[in-house]
Amino acid sequence: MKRCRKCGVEVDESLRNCPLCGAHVNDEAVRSKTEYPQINPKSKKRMFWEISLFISLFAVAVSVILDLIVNKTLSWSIHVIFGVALPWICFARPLLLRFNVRKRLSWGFFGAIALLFYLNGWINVFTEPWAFWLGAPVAVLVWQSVSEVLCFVHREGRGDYEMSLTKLAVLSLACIGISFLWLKQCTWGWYVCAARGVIDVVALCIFAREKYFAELKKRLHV
Amino acid sequence: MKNELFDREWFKLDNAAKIYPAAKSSRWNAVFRMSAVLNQEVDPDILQLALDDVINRFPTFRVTLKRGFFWYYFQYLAKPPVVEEEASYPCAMMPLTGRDHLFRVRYYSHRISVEVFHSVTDGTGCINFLKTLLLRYCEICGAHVEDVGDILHYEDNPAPEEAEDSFSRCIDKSKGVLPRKEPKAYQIKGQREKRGVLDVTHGCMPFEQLHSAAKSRGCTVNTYLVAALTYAMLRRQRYEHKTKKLPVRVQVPINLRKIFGSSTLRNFAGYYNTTIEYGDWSFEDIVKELDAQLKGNITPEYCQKFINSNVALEKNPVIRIAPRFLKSAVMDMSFYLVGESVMSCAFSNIGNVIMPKELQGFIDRFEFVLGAQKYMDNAMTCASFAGKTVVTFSRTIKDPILEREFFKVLTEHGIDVTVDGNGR
Repeated sequence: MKRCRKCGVEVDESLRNCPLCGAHVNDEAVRSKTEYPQINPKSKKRMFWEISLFISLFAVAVSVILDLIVNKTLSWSIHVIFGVALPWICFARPLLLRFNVRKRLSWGFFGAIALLFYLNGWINVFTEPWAFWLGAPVAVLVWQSVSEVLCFVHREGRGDYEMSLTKLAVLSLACIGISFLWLKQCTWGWYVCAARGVIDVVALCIFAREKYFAELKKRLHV
Repeated sequence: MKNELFDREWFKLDNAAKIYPAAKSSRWNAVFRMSAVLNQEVDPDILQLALDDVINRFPTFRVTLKRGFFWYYFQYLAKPPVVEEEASYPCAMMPLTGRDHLFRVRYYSHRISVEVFHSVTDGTGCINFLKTLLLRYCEICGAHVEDVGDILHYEDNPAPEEAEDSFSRCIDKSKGVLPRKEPKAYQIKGQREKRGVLDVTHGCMPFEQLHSAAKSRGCTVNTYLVAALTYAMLRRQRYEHKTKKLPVRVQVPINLRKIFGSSTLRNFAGYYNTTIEYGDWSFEDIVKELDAQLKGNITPEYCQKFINSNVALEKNPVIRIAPRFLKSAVMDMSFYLVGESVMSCAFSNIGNVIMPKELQGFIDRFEFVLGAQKYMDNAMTCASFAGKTVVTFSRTIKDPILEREFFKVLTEHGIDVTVDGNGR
């Protein structure tokens, strides 16, 4: 057994240097049973995402600085920020975190709704909030349709799509509340979404009663 | 197919398990590893066969972590676990995707490792799983074992007690709760390793020598190791040119199973923080002080109060009805404030691992590795088997400051330490 002169400990035969102080202990390296594999701490995939993130943040920072210097305010650089943030949130994040189909779908719809709000803000600074009373309800209606189809196709599944439909019903009802708080009235778009959401939930209670309540109990246990 | 043990597809996390998903971040989650180094190279095909046989004996392992609105929960996972060759650093982040197992079985050269997300089980549960896996592996390799002792055999049916949340069973509100306020403690800092890198250093020594060193100072091996760790940290702090000197506080886990008569394979461990104020201590004085602290404080009353404090927090109506993301934020903060910032180092000792005599020739040694801590840079563990004790340090800083100081203390006491690891 080799011995490190600095630390006084015996060092495994396979090691050239003492793991404690790094001092050289021998020239010969022998494979031993306590050996660990050599690992490259960074994979190419991770490096790709890190470089992409760095380039994106760099582009945003340069745009903001130039905009502030030239226009003394954030004008066109807001479009750059949104243009970078949206693909990162809706595409890169689901890919990085290995999202499943249902989650990718959700983030896709969130992205679409965010894009509508962005366009609304850009065109008329929400003086006429059409993204809220028309755009978002239409997106939610499409989302509900897709979820209903997937719920029917995967009716033997784990209940994720049933929960998606419930969440959409709750979202629609919440948006009715937000409408009254924000616009002091509610538009037909959210009423339609909420009515459809309630019908979905009632249908689930009737046709998939056991599974649906078991799923609710599981996810809402206090 | 349902999880027959529970007769349902999901179950709640136990009290101790709840903190780990709440405190997880994109860079960290709580993973630890138990390994056995065999005397022959590991055969992955046999290991897979052994795992296929063993996994149904441990239904609490066959789960994935899901998000509920108020709490996380475990969902039964039908897909079988697959053994994998070691291709990352020890205790790499566990993918908490809701589709993967919360443990993995890895092999490399002569080593079989089981890595577990801490919510699933604690050290005792994990070592039980590894022992059963090793027993089955050796049986397939041709070993014939007459008496398996306390090892859970893969052919036995899992008992309901093995899946109980013992924290909830053992609560006794009349005994009071623990005060949890402790000031900050000294921590060794240094240049950080790259993200995802965990440097592991094993110090292998004869148990007899360690036992004699402890016995000559009138303490147990556990106390001796805590004392050596504390002494090493105090010595290190003396070299540092900081005006504010902090106490050294080591977190020592307590296996609550023996005290409360539980055989659960889920989490059921408490902890006690030993404290030594900064000063000019001799090693013998530290041993005396720590012995008094550990013997005087780790009592059934302390453990009962520990359980009460934890469960009272969980059962608080305001906390229960708060949405999960709010709870997680609060729990993450408390994980830092009353957890890792008040500790100098975590130390865990699984003690002497006992295997049937027929398997002694198959296995060289056991190792226990704590994964990266969230706010601390060092952790120390210990495992003994067949007269061989392996003290393992895991760190996320480049310089092995603590292990260097620690093993110096041991070699000064005449203990022959052989070191190896995955660094350099």
